[in-house]
Formats: sequence, C-alpha cells, structure tokens
Amino acid sequence: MSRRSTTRAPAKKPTVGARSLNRKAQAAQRLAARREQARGRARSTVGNPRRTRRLGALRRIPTAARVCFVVACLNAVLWSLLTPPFQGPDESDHFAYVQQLAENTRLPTSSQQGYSLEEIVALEELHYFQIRQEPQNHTIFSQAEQQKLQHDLSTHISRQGKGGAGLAASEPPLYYALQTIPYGVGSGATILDRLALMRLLSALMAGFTALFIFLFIREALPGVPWAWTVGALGVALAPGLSFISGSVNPDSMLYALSAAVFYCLARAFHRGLTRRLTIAIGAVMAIGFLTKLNFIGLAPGIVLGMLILTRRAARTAGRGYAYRSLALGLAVAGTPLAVYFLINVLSNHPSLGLVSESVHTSTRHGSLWGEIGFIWQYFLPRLPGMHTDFPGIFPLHQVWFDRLVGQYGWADTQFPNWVYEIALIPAAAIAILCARTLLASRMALRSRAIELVVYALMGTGVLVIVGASAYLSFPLLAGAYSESRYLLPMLALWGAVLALAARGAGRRWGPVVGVSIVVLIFAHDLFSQLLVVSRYYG
Amino acid sequence: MRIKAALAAGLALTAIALAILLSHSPPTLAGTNGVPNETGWPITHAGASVCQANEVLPRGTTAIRLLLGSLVGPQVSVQAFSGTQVIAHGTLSPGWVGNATVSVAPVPRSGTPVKICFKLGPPGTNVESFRTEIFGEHTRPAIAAVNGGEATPGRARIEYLRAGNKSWWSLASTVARHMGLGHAWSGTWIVLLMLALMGAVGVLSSWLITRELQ
Repeated sequence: MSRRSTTRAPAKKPTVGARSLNRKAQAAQRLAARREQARGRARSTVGNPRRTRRLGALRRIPTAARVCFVVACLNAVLWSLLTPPFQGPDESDHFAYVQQLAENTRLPTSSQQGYSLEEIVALEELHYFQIRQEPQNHTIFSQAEQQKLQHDLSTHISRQGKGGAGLAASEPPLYYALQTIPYGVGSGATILDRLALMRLLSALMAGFTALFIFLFIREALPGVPWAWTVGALGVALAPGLSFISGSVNPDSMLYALSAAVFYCLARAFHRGLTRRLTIAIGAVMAIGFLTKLNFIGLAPGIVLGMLILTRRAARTAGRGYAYRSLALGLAVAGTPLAVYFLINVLSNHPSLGLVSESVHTSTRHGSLWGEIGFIWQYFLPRLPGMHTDFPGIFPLHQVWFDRLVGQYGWADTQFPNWVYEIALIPAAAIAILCARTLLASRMALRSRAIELVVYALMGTGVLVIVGASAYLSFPLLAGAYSESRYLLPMLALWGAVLALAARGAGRRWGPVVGVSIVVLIFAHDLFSQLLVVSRYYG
Repeated sequence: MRIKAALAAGLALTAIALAILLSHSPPTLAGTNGVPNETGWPITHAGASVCQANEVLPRGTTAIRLLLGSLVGPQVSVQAFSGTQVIAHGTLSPGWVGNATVSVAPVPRSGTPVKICFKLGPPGTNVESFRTEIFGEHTRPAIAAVNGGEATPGRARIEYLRAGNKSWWSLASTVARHMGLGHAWSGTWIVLLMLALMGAVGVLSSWLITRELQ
C-alpha cells in the first residue's frame, strides 16, 4: 500500500454522487498528507496482510486526531477523579441500572429508586443526600468518616436491588451492558472501585468524541488543515464534555455516536455515499437508538441526509444499487427498535417498554401551537403573538448559555454571575469570526446548502427532543431538562464553529486566534475544575 | 514564532489569573438563623415579597444565602431591614439552580432584629411559572415567614456569608486532604495524580498546537 493511500483514503468505488473538492482544499489536503507521510515514514508496514490492512486503517487517522483522542481521555479521567462518587447527574440511577444488569442479568423493572443495599449504604456513608443539590454542604472531611466508609463497604452487603433504576430505567440497555464489563472486572472490590472503573470507560468515550469531531471537521471544512486541530482540541478540552464523560452516564456514549454520525454524513457528502458508508451510518444509528433515547432527535436529519445522498448516488451508480443500499442502511438502523417493539408486543408489555409508561404518565396538555411556542421560547427569543412561557427570563442566555459556560455536579455547581457576563465577550468574538468566515465563503456555502440543511435539521432535532420533553412537565415545572448536557450531541457543530472562527481571523492571524481559542478553553477547563474543588472540598 | 508567543502569552495570562484567584479567600459562614432544612413549600403569591422577621445579620456579611429550590430560578432581590431602614440589599440574576446566594455590600455592623425580605422576578413576573420552593421548617403562623400578607407554612433557612481570612493558597493542604477522602482510591496522592493529568493535558495540547499551527 502506498504511503499516499495510507494517509488519505481514496474514494471507494462506486463513488456515487462524489463532489470534487475545490482546488484549494485539495492542495491543502495534499500538503497535510505529505506532512503526515514525512512524519510517519519510520513506521513499518510489514507483517501479515490483514494486520497490515488494519494498521493501515489506523494510520490513516492523522496524528493530530490521535492526540486529540488522548487529550480528551486524560481530561475526562481527571474529571472522573475530581467529581465525588455519585455526584454526576443521575449517576446513582445509572449505576443501579448497571448493577441490575450485572447482578440479576435483567433489565430494570421500575423507575423507582430500588437500589441495592450496597448502593444505599455507600450513598449514606458519602452523605450523598445531604450534598446533592445542596451546594453549601461538602463531602466527607474526616479520617474517621473515611475509615467508617471503608469498613462498611468492605463488609459483605447485598448487591441485589429491587429492580429499580430511577430515571435511567426507561433508557435503552447498550451503554449499561458495556458498563457491566468494568463492573465485572472490579467485582471483587468495593462499590467505589467499580464506579471508578466504570467512569474510566466513559472517559474513553470522550476520546472517541474528540476523534470523530476531528474527522468530521476534516471532511466538512477541508480547506485549512490547521483549523481541524483547533476545532477538535477545543472540544477535547471542553469541561462540559469531560465532566459528563468523567461520570457514569450514557450521554458520554451518545456524544461519541453523534460525532460519529456527523463524520459519516460529512464523508458521504464529500466523497459520495458507498454501500459500506450507508451501512456504517445505519449501524451508528442502531447503536445510538440502543444507547440513549435522545438519539432519536438526530434521526430526521440523518434520514434526510441519506435520502439526498442516495438520490445523488442513483445518478451515477444506478437506481437499483443506490436504493438497495439505502434500504440496507435503514434496515440496519431500524432492526433493534423493531425487535424491541416486537418483543414488548408479543409479551403483552407496553410497545416501547418503560418509555411508553413514562410518556403516558406525563401530563398531556395544551395545543400543538402552545407546544411549538414553548419549544421556540426555550431556545430563541419570543415572537409577537406567543404566550409568555418564561416571564422575566431569557432562556437562551440565562439557561443555555450560562449552563454551557459552567454547570457541574447535580446541576448545583455554578460560577458567580459575573463570569457568565464576561463569557459573553469571547463567545461574541467567536460568533463574529465564524460569521466572517461564512460570509467570505458564501459562494461555497450556496453549493453546499443541502448538506448544511441536513446538519441544521440534526441540531434542530436535538433541541426539539429536549424542548418537547420539558413541555411534558410544563407548567407544573418550568425548566425541566434545562441542563446543558442535553445539547452536547451537537458538539461536532461546535467544533466546526471553533475551526471557522479561527479561520475568520485570516491567513496571517488565524493560527494565533486558533491558539488563543484553545488556550481559552484550556483555562475554562482549569477554572471549572477549581470551581468543582471549591464546591465539594473547599 | 508568532504561535509560540501567543501560546506563551495565553498560558502566562492563565497562570496570573490562577494566582490572583487563589490569593482570594473563599466565603465562610458568618452565621445562620438556626432553622433546619427539613421541608419545603412553594411560593404561591405572584409578585409579592416573602419577609421573615427576627433575623440576625452578622457584621461583615457579603452574601445572603436563601435555601430556595427551582430548576430555572427567577431573578431574586433581597433587602434587609432594620426597622424601616434598608441595611443591605442585592439582586441575583435569573437562571440559578439550587440555593440563591445574593451578594450584598459588606454590612458594617451586626443588625438585630432584622427583617429579611426577598422578591422573585422583576415586577409583573408570575412566579408560579418557576415553581420556586422555600426550604426550612414548619412553624406556628405567628413566627412564620409572610408571603403577600399571609403566613407561609414555616420559616425559611437563611445563611449569612462573609469573606474568609484565609486565602485558597493557605487552605491548599486542607483541601488536598479532603480530596483524598471518599473516593475509590483514598489518600492525598490522588491530588498529585490529578495535577500530573492536568500537566499532561496541557503539555500535549501545547505540543499539538505548536506542531499543527506553525
């Protein structure tokens, strides 16, 4: 295999609907490829052909992407050590789900908190109930409490729960099934050891998120290779990603899968949709559905993308081939849902299991227009004629922006107000620089309008899912699902915004702005960690 | 060269900001009203102040922490009255979660008895939309907090904070000891591991951007 092909994969045949990159972008990619080639010349490619092929595939991943992977993993590991046990959002429920799977080999049977005695003892010894959402209370602080904790957890306590997993019970099982591996590895150790090992698996997911975002930016914005690093490293250092990926939470896997599907679509838009890629997109969708229900928000955008790409493919590769590929991809994507549905129906359970129950028990109210108005106001300025659902508050700023800047623990750890005000300045600068790049490349954008519509629909789907879920408990409870973590499936787009912002400063100053963005996010990460330290240990 | 200079400048600024932050003292508890956090009840009277009499406002108070609960907290305005005179006041922007800690100008001398009043949202806000709860204990109506002229089910817990006299630097060893407790792997060494991880993240990121952005 030639070095060139190991650095940049050629479009596979049939390259249906492949859109040729512009000359500038191709030149930039060739330059990046040559640099990679020069750096990797020392590597050996000898060995058995299968292994060589596999190694070749790995080597096609640029060094920068691999470093972003490592940085994201290390940062998430750091957050996993920093955050006290069970103080990640809903972490006690997620742990209970895994324990139920591992100890009873059954899915949770109720959304009550039927934790095992072992978990209850750990939560009590750690003062979990006094600390959660009570930022004035800190973690245990005396050696005597530590010794009691160690003593009580080392005694043989029942790990069998009553089948409850709280809020996590209605979630699909894949992430939890994977977590039974580290749980099993630490089965001889205490509950805290098992939790720590499980957090490490989540941290690995952060690495994949950063890796796929690098690859996504490389495909979507191929013109300026150095900007790929700015975008992906910016995401790898983002404290929001590291905090969630440093705890036991299926969101960590959801972020990685969302990034993967953005990458697959970007690749298909730029190199053409092959059957292999169609199946890959279908497989990522299937895994996403099995990981967290919020993935459904991305589905309309993904399906639209697949339809458009298939139509393009039909022109070059033939209708039969293209549509058979689409059918195959959609079948792969839909199979897990169909099987789940069928099992429930045949066993006389609600068609979507505990999900159906939670939807039925939620308050159904209001008109469709009322719901649309609510979702709109949850993320955007209220329009004339809309009912005021958030009086005296602008959710885009005071909920979403502020919480993206910093909200940790059980949503109970925030910066002082002035930090959020100051954060508006760099955020505005990034937005202006990004807009400048988009304006300068409006001709290119016009030719890629459909691709952008697909990404926008994916992002909108994520917002609609969050808004619609919040509307279920409105007006009894305003602001449900108002945690910034629900928006992080759009991290790939955030990475692209960072890359575009760096490019917006021009060829001369762009890299300097890129460095500034990365350092700013690194500082944000550092100060967020100190905030968490002061919250729990100060 | 320009990249390295930008990186060095950025990291130097971060280090300076860090040093300034750590030289500050964290707020400490100056006092509480002794009301236990046992139960909660919603604030029902839209637009009206909640007032609680017979409070003691410690000298040097720089923030008043109200034990409230809300998913998206509305704006909170607090006033402390000694008789009819306002001796401390402050406002917290909307969007808070958990407790509402409202900063006030340092109180020069202790005030007793003081009436603490707080109001949710700007004028005209329908607070019921925010489903904000007060936490404290149930009491007889005569000593309970008052909301819109009516007695609430009890008294709210209120905490008074003031600037501490020890900087984060001088508290470093205590904080490090606390960080070593209550985890899977206990001991202060865990802090060193965290520092090593942070260092590795910083070094790798710096190396990568100087390599790729040159």
